Amino acid sequence: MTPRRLVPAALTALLVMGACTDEVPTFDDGSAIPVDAETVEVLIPFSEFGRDFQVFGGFASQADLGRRFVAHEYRGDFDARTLVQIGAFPASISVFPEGETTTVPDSAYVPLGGDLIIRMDTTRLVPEEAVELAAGQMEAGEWDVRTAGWTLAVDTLGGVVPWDEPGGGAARSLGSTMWDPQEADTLVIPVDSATVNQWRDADESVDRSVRVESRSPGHLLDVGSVELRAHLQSSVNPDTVVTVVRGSVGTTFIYTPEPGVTEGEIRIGGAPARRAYFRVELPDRFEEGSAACELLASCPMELTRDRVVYAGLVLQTRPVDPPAFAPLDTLGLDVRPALAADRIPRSPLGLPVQPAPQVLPPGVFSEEGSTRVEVPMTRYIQDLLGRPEDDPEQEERPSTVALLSPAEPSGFQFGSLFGPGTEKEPFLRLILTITDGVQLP
Amino acid sequence: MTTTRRSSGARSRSPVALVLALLAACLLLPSSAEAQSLMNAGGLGLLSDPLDARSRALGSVGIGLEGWYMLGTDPSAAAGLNLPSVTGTFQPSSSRVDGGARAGGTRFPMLGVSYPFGRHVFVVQFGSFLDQEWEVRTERTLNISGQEVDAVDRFESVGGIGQARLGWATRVSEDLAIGLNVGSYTGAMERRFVRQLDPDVVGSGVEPFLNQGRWRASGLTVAAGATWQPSSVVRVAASLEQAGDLTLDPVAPTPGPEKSYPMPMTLRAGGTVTLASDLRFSTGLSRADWSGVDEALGGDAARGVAWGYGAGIEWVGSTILGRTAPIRLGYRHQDLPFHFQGNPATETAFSAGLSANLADTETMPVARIEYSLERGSRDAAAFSEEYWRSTLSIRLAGG
Repeated sequence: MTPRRLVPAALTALLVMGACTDEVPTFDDGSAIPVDAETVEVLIPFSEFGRDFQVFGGFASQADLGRRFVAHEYRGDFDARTLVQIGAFPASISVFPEGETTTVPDSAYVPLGGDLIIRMDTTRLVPEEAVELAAGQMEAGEWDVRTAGWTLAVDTLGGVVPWDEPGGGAARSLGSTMWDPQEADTLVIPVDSATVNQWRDADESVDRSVRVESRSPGHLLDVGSVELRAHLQSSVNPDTVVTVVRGSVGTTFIYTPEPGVTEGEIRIGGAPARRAYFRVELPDRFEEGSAACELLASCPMELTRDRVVYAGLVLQTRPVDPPAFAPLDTLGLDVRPALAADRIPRSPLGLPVQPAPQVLPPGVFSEEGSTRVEVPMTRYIQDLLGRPEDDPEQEERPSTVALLSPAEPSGFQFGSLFGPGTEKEPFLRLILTITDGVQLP
Repeated sequence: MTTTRRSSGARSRSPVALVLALLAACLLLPSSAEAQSLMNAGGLGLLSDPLDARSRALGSVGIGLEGWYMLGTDPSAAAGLNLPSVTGTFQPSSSRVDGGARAGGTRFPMLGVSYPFGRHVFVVQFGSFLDQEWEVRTERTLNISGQEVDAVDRFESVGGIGQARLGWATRVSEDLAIGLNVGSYTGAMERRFVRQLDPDVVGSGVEPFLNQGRWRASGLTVAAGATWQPSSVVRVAASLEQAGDLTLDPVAPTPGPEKSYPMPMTLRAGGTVTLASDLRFSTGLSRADWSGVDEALGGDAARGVAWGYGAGIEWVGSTILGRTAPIRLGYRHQDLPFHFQGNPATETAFSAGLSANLADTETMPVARIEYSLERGSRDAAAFSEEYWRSTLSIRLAGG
């Protein structure tokens, strides 16, 4: 390029580059905004938006929890016991016959006895003093790990079997021991040879069932694992004793009393877990005389999607009853839409409507009073009121929601909240911005 | 002769590339076509005349300049364009309010194509008219049920209104040319209000409130003009532009009816006197009565009669690298049609400019680049903003 063309070319390039920076003329004077906007808060009582409130239980079971507990008269009359099914014995053991250097299988071994090894989980629950734990051989002929409870050994559809006595049925004592958490986290209870022989010969694991319980009142203890260490004498070489360890092949815990649901209570969590369902039916407009209109400058007023800038479901916690079921750790709360309302409580659930997990500290369920909990659900409420302008084809959102714990079960403890019809029933808190619309000059 | 032609072709290549780049920028950077003044917030926007760099440099109101050219405000000025030509104008600018905010951006105020057919010249032009790019951002504290909540309010006006014109011009005699163009308003106005509440107070998940509207512009304009050259040293021209209503139709889902604003009849007149063989003086005047739109805006929002006038001198004796490179100086005053913050507003500017022929045949330039720089101010009572505005025009002609 010759110099005579270089100059205008460079000039043009500079100008084009200069065009890339735009600064929009901007005022900071709010009076220059030609829109009259009013932002107000509206509280809608449950009776004006909630329908078909129901609480369902039975979601998952204690066996799914992965943790087992024992307790005796904890926070009142709460008792819990851990039930374990010990795994099958080996068909044979390998031993060296006397004077030989290769092993042979020995299926005619003779159990000499064993030890029940109970490891306590002290990461969350540690008693401040020594406690007495006992183990017994369960005598019930049939019980189901997944459905067993304090009064029922089996609780399946069409197959309910009660224990012969509540709390896991009759049990033959294997012994007891004091556990001092300051000294160890493992307890050893000897098991006699007759019991070990009986367990070896049992065909079903239910016939190798052990019940662990606490005899010291006022403590809730977390049982980490239960296993049997059996000593087996060889029939081929009687000088040889082989020790085998059989872990649990099924375990659960049972408790009493069974917490009943109070009328007008929202309960979340627990094992088995409970959920509350209700249908959201928002009014199209706030009419004169409605509770919402008390906070509005003018009524009636249309309730439209674009006016809702915030929506939160406001709940009030209540003391958990019985108190033994009060959460000891944080409890999550999700609000999720039921994707098939006609299949409640077995309806699949959608993703949580709140933007972030709602975590409730354990203290909010204490007896000291009630705490307000607000679950933001702006997008969900907006979607119920209409489709967004930028996505007119958006799928219609289900109007029934479930209140539940994000993980079921997360513990046998549960959260309790005031439900509809109570003095502190839920309400919907809306923040609305109302304008007469953006107009032409 | 053959050598000259080949040479001309080679010379044309570079400016052609420049213009193509400029046109590409027009297409690729439409969002850059923004305004530069806080006064865009007044009425229907800031008046943005579709002038080229030469008119800007000479303080012209867009009529009566020496030579033949394309301007929508001067329909007869295209009558002498004997070769097909294209012209484009590119206008970066920046403004600064007294002790306050800065603003800047780029417009493309004029694009045009002319095509001669016999004694007639036909023209297609796209030009600017009203700029509406402005924004308000303010923080405020709201009282919501007794609780103080911080909020940020933002109002945005986006877009602008332009004109598309089809023109015809012809020389009815050696010293008289006439022209006519008809056009339509184009573009759209978008307005958006956003309020964002403080989530720390209201609750997480609070969504911004958004209310917006979009209106498409339509309406007809007709302009007619004449250029008379009574002697070799005097040239005068006048035009009359009659505009129909500017109608803004809501674009779905924007609610509401359309709204129409009466546009003024605009009279422009101007002329050029050759003072010496290489020195010319030009001047012009415009008058538009905006009282009709004032009524549509509810009163006290627009002027009655808005005057514009300006003058400039052009020295064509200078050269750059052996080629003619006219130097221009000018001054312009324009009453702005819409009040700003309740006060009538005016715009004044001093300007200077330079032109260079990039390529030419033996008889006429076929590629010309023109540049102007204006230093001006816009005033409305106590409000004042100063601005720099540069304008670059390129014109190519060929057969």
